[in-house]
Amino acid sequence: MRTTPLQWTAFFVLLVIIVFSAFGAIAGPV
Amino acid sequence: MAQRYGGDHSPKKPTGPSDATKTANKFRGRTAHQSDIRVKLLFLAPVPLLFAAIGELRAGDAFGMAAELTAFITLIFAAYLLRDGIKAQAAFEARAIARAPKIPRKLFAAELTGVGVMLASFFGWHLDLIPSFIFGIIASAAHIVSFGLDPMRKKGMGGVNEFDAERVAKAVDKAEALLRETLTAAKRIGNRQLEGRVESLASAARDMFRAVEEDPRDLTSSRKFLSVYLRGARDATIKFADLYSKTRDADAQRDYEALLADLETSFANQRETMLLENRSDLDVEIEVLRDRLKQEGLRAGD
Repeated sequence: MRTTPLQWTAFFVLLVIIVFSAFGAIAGPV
Repeated sequence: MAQRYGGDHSPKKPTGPSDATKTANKFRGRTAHQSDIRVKLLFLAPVPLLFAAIGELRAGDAFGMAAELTAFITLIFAAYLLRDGIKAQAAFEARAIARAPKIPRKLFAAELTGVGVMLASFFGWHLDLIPSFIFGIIASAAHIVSFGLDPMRKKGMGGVNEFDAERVAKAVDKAEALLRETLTAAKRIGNRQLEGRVESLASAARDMFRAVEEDPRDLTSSRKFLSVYLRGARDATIKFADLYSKTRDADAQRDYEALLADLETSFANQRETMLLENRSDLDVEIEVLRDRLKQEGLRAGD
């Protein structure tokens, strides 16, 4: 099954949230 | 295991199965394993949390470290669940009749991803509770949009008795397990040709499974094939592998090969019989509809 553009968009949102919260944890409180 | 190179016109013709016993491509009826780059990225994305946990260790914050490690494990576990969920879905889609997977893995993966993001932003990033919560929800939603949900309903049960379909799905599951054990045992034989024979037996058996799935009424007549014969084949393969790997007994090899050939032929015959029955069903169906059209004066050429 091919990944649709909508699925890719949602995936990048998900990836960015995970990566940012993970890097946020390194940086500490804003 | 390596296979000596050689074709029909090589000086030393390989002593493989003759053309008569050679069967179709062993990859027939098997789907390629789908590899999804997205799942792999999801395994990588939480890695910074590990470094964050090390940072907390340096800062002397044991609680923060525990929370960040928990978030990391949650996200990785979610990625595992997602991978298994995708595999289960592929197995579901490959069959004509299938039950929904018992555990909705993709759904759990989406929820766990949300929880992991929430933990990481609340305890690691030190955001307030509400923004963390919202991030978690967005992550879960994005996960569901991106990867979808598990198949939740039974498939292919329309038109046939649900009870029958359930029985077929169960019987095929069991037979598939026997087949896998047989193939694993065959790998121990250490003879590439014999292994190939077992694989072609497996594809004949799988063809028959698909035929049974398409018409659950065939289950009664094929039960013997799905259980007794396959179990016999598995036991024989295990014993033969034990013996042959030690003694290279040529007699045993000949007998075993004869057994494989018999089994394969009988599986193929059984499948053919079932397809013939389907064919006569189809003929009746066509006949009835054409008669009806003729009666109503709609048939072309009349």
